[in-house]
Amino acid sequence: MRKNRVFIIATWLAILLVGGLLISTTKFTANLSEFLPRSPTTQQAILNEQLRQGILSRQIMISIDGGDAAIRAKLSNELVRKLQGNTAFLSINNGSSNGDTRIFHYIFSHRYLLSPTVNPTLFTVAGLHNAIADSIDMLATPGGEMVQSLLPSDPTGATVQMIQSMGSGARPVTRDGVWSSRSGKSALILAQTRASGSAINAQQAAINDIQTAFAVAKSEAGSVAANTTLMMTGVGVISVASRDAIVHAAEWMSTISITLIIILLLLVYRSGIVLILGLIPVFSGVIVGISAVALGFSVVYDITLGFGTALIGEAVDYSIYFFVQSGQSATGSEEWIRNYWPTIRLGVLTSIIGFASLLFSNLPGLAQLGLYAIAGLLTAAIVTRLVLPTLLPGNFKSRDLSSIGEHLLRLTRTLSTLRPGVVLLLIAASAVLVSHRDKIWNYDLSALSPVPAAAQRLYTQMRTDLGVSESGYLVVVSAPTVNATLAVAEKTGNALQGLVEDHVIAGYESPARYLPSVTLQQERQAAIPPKDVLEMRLREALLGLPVKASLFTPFIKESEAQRTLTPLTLADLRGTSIGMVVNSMLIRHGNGWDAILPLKAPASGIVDAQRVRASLARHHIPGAMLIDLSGTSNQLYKSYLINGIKLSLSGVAFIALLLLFVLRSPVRVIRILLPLIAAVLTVSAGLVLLGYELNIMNLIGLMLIVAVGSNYALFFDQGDRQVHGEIAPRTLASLVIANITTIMGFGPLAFSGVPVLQAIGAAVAPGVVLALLFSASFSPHTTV
Amino acid sequence: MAISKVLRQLLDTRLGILVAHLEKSFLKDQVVARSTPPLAAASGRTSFHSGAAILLMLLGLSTMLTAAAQASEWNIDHLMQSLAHTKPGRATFVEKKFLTMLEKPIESSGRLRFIAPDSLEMHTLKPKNEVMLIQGDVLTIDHQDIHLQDHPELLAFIDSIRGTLTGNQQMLEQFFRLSLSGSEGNWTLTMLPRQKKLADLVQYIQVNGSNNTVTSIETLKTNRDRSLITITKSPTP
Repeated sequence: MRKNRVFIIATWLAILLVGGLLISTTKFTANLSEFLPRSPTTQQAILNEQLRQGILSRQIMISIDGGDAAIRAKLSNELVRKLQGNTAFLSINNGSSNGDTRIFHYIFSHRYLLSPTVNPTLFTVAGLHNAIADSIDMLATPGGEMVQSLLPSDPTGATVQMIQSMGSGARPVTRDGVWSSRSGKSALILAQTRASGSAINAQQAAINDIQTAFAVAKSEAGSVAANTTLMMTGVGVISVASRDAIVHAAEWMSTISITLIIILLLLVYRSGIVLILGLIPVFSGVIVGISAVALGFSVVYDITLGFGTALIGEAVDYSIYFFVQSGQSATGSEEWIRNYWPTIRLGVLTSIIGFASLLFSNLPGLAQLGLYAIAGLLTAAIVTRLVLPTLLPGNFKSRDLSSIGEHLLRLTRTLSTLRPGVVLLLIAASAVLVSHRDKIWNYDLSALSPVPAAAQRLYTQMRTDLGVSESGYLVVVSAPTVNATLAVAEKTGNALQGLVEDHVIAGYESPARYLPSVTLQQERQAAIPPKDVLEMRLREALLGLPVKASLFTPFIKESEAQRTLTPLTLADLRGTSIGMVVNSMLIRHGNGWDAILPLKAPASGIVDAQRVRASLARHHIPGAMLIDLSGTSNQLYKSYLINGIKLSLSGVAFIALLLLFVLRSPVRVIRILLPLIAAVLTVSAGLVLLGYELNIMNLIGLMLIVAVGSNYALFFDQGDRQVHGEIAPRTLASLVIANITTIMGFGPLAFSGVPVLQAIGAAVAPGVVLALLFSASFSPHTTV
Repeated sequence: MAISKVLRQLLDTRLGILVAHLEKSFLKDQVVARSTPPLAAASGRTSFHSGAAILLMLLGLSTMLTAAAQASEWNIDHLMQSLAHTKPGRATFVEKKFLTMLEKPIESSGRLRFIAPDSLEMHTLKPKNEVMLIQGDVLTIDHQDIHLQDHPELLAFIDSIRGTLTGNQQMLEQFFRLSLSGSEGNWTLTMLPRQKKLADLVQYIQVNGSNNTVTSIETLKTNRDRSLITITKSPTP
């Protein structure tokens, strides 16, 4: 016996030690996009990739408000100057001329490889004549002086054409030499971080750098800058804020919960040692749970820890059952194992089946939660069963709560009269849910967003101010290599150009516009004649034009140079702004690459998807996909939610099967499940009646009601075994205490102010109370 | 917020800003300066030139339609007063540019329309169709807006022209040294920039007129490029 005990404790400690080591080497990420797919379709993968890693997620939009325009411009320039050398940023830009000149250099020095005007006709005598005559006409018209300085080196207007082809995207307004909001009341700056938007700690550091730089600039500017303020937004900023909001709320709420639970348990146990022993199963469960997630997934999401620990908060109940139910005698624990363990074992099994449905979720976040909860609960139960009895001091005596239990039992008996009420409530709740069936679930992803409405407004406002048009459509094409992908993008561009001419779309973007495929660049190079040929043709072309050939020496020289340039590749663009633009539309995907071509909606705002698809098909572009972004992400979320609901329902079905298998009595199974289902439906109906639409976190909350409530229901049901023919007073007391701790654990979340946490709290806290009451009313004693 | 929105916004913003930046750099001539140093001419100058010309046309167009000045003694004060009265009107223009890099002058022509209080439409018909519009502080060419605030030296100049239009000689003299020559029936107002920024670009601007009507505007830039705009009043419809 003693040997056995040593073995158990040693094994337990060894597992904890291994778990601890495993956790110490585990990578934790604070990533908010875990509610995105794990094994998605290509469309979903693109969406996911873009949000997580995309260059798009790296923007920080900065706004300086207050003061006057001059001081805002000064601070804006100063901020840019201070951050320009900072390696955390790929670029920082406020529209002032001291920005990144590498882009223009890139465009200009490769204009004959990049400009869509370059083809063999351009370099014929007639082609040169026409192009140069056009350029001179342009010079003649008012404002033509803008291109005057380009004429000697670019008489055919290749650069201007190229810039025009790169689109006339909306631009921010400039005031006092720097970007400004439309209202003119704020100076705007756009920063690109080196780290992706999902690298929250790096984003946090970048944000801190900006804040510090602004504070320094502000103090240097003196009293005139006194009432200026800094605002930031962007995917990274919002992620950091959300993380902070969730972490702060979770910390606060768990502090409140833990304090309340400890006070309650101290009141119940009147013993510090028992309190600590009582926390051992949960503690072990947390360690094994995290270890399991670390083994099963390469990374552990911070949020899994938060939510997961709440889920296995159920494990506190096990030690409560153990201490309260085992009573005073020295042999109490053996008695407990004989009388109560089978019930708890069944309860653990039902909970595990419930959470197992999460494992199959295609949302990695939910799958992690499921694994964490299962491993944690199982460990906590086993530790309660095997380790806790061995740790009890020889003279252990827990308080006898029989007298409280007697009181509670009398109360419970009166509850039986409520049984028809519960059935009525079940019917009423079902009626409410059926009549509101279209409004039960919120399929909008933003329902999960922890971002306050004000922050969302700021984001939209600054985005508008930085000058943006909107279209929810992307065309995506793929190929095995970058070059092949760009070539397909070029082909797609031809198809889209036709659609632009037919006014089906107003325009499109393409990575090939900034970086043509090597093939196309070489074709263009081949169109440039050798130096002597070009000189000859140029002289002939200039006949009748008011300009001497000698003016175009730079043109001759550069055409020759560009004729033999090595075509640009993605690698050449690394670190430049243009490289970032290309990268934002060119994504490595599995064994190949995807090019993303955003479409600009026509004036009507509606893109005729049919016609776009038809055109893509007509041009024989293999595997080209048209994605409707506005629809896709919500559709995506909707599919997860529906998937989650299906999995939960199958979880309930499996629980019913398990109970039927173990208890072999349909009546008992109904008696156990009916109160739980009533509780779940009543809570859902209540939330729906309050105008609240349920989201995926609510769904988890509802499953938790079943998981926790099944323990109650089983104990009431197992009352059959007791001599009294009903639940023992001590057992009832333990249930009530466990119930109160659950309320303490989840109740505060409902007031956290963070939607995801609120969703769980608002479902679980009332749900477990109802589950206990309903189970009590269905307990067998009343039928006797 | 919906991911779709975030993505869409980010993508669009990114591209919009790139284009803005490209054009900015383009206008700044940084690479041209690098590749062809002797011919470097900053965009400030070029757009300054046309902007100035347009504003002067605005000035001329409006003033030539003004009621006859009741001047007993012809001087800048009186010219200013008569120019200050503005009314909408139409005219045709011919602009001859004498650019040093070209062997012959190049010419453009078209219609001018002044829309009260501060808008001018310049519709070039030859050699190519193009519409340029100044509305308040925004200059639009081919649907592309140029905000005059982006070009402080240009804005200073325009403000001084506005000073002229409103008869604010004090404001005008803040930017130019003014001298008037000729007679009331054939006057020449010569404007020499006072500030270095302007003086680096423009040697002088000469406005010719008869009574309260501006007939031509000549601009000579420091790089010897010259522009002569001749304005002919259209018959009132």
